[in-house]
Amino acid sequence: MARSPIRIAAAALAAAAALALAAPPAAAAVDGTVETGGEALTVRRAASTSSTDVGEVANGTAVSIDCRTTGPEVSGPVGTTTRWDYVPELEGYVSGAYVRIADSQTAPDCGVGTGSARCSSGSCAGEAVFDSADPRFVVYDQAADGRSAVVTYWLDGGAGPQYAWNSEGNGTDVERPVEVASGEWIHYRVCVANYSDSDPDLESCGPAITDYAA
Amino acid sequence: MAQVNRRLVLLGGVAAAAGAVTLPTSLPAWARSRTAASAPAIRDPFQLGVASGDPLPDSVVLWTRLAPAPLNEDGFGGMPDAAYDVEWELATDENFGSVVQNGTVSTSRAMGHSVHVEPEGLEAGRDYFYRFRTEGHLSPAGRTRTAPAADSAVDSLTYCFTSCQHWEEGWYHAHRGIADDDPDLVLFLGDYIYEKPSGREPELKVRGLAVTDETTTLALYRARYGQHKTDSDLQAAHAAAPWLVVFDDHEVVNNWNSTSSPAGTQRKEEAFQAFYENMPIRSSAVPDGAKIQLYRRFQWGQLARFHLLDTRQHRDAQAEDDSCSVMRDPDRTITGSEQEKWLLDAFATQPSTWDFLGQQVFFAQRDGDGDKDTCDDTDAWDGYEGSRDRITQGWVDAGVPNMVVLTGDVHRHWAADLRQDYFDHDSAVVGSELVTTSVSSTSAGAEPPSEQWLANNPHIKYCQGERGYVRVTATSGELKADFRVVSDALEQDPAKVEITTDASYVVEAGTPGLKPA
Repeated sequence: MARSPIRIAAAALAAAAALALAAPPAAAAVDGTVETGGEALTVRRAASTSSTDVGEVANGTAVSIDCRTTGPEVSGPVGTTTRWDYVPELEGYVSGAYVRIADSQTAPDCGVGTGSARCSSGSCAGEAVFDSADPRFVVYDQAADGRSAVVTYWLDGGAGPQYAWNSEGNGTDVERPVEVASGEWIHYRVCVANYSDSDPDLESCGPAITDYAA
Repeated sequence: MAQVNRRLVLLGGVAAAAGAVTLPTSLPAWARSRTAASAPAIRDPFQLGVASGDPLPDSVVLWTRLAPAPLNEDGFGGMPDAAYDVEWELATDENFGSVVQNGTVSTSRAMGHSVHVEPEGLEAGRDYFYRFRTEGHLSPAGRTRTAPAADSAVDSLTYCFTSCQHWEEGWYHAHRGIADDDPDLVLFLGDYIYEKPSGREPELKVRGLAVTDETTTLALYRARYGQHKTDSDLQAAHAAAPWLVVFDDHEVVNNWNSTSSPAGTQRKEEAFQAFYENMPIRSSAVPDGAKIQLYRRFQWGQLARFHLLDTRQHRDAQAEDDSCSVMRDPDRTITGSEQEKWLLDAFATQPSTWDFLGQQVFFAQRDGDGDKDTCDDTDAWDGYEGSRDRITQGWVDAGVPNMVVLTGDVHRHWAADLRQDYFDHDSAVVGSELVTTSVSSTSAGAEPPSEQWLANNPHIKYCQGERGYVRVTATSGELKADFRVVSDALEQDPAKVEITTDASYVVEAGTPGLKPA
């Protein structure tokens, strides 16, 4: 009458597969309008005024905001705010101080499974974009500081952190695939460090985020 | 064992057919799913697994906690600030074809989106399976069991106990071993989390905390538990059997009732709240501010009784130094007077063959130099001799026949006999103590006891500094304790790790004292 936990677990999983049917929540994007009073608005790779300028968007443009996050405070025509909005079609973030959203609407907090970016603290010497659709990091080194940019990340199951390094030097970017299954979470932050294959001494670690593979 | 299980399965079938409790209906429970209005959609929130605990003959606690982003520093686990309804179901079969009870409970940030269900009216001494569902997401299934009826004869009980699982200092192979052993019960005797990152050198650490700040706030305690519960081996051990859990010191802060660094009221409140939220314990343990009712008792038919103690919360402040006069002051207590009375009163009745005292710190004396004029360990029962004397005298006077103390804390396996005067090496043995090593917390640097040390402490039979757990099999005739060890807790790959029995000891019922098996 010895029970086999492994067999039971497998049976329970099969039962779960038959009953569990939840799709990931639909992205609850909200609509906004760029409002600068005239000039084009700068789009940043991550939610910081120190983050790399990756483009601009004209005053009056309608944008679809997937999510919001917190960054440096900015004052603009819409108000003074620490809110930054993630606009996937612009491949980056814009300050909420220049984006008007209907009063009744609130974008969800970032980490909605449509991609995200973070940078190291301070001057954003390290930056990384997480691509949810094709799970990988693009890691950017943005400073001639003699250090690598590095993403530290954790996945389900209990191991971690794992590291995604860019040791190519200032102005470079490196793609690092990530083994994360569709729908599963990834928790990461961006730091700078001297490269080490075991126990790096991390510096200037920026704020963490949990995102999801699409 | 086989005979008992067949009987229980049969009884279960009869009860279900007779319509005891709630029969499954044609309408799936999940079809009635409803969620508080305005609660945003969430991703799969069952990232922390499921658990059960505190089994009674008619009830067992079912636990989960919603956390789609379990490592978030804010401690909310990625849950929006809204109430969510969580459905639960309890079945007698692993495929949930025979659901005997189900229901819906609401949870919110005020309780860390944890769920504690205490179904009642269950059958004694049988297996159940349980799972949860919310927002269209289904949890993994767990297996649990109720305690046998208090007056029932029980052929055999197998339980595992362990302690001390610093996240960074080793892989949780011990929990994999516990799950594979298929025990009736699991006891965890404290240090489920640690308040700080490990101070060990890099080669003694296998992984890192996502949030490294010391756990000084509710948010940080919640995040720390959240990361621990992402471990798949820990989830497996929780899902395999009901647990009996107590805390030690690191669930708050190291030696938090010491005189040098006592935890303040607010820190205790927040630590206790996070402990309750993350453990499968009863609502009787919902914290009342900076107080939590942790000591409690469980009975396993006529075979065993578990007295779970709280030696942290109610103790007098630890002695400042190894002053014998303080440590032997008969007025000092490690349990507090209320808990001591609760325990001594219980000795008056002996409904079961075995009495197990599940608690935190070393009970037997450890006096390295064998010199009565010097004292050593201020943190353990050695530091509170009055308490130890009164409790030992209590069970001797009451004629408690088979007392076995279960202990954690020290990161090494130990086995010891208990005496009323440890300096008199010929005095009677009045019980035994089984001390479990840690799941992961290291004992690197601890030397094995020397021959002289053992000669000074002949009541101590065994010490082993590897990671692992203790597996106890008890019958009405004897108890066998297998000291299980993990070959290498720094190796992640299960295929390269062996979990074996390093030593076994037997205690015969009615004849106190450990014997090599």
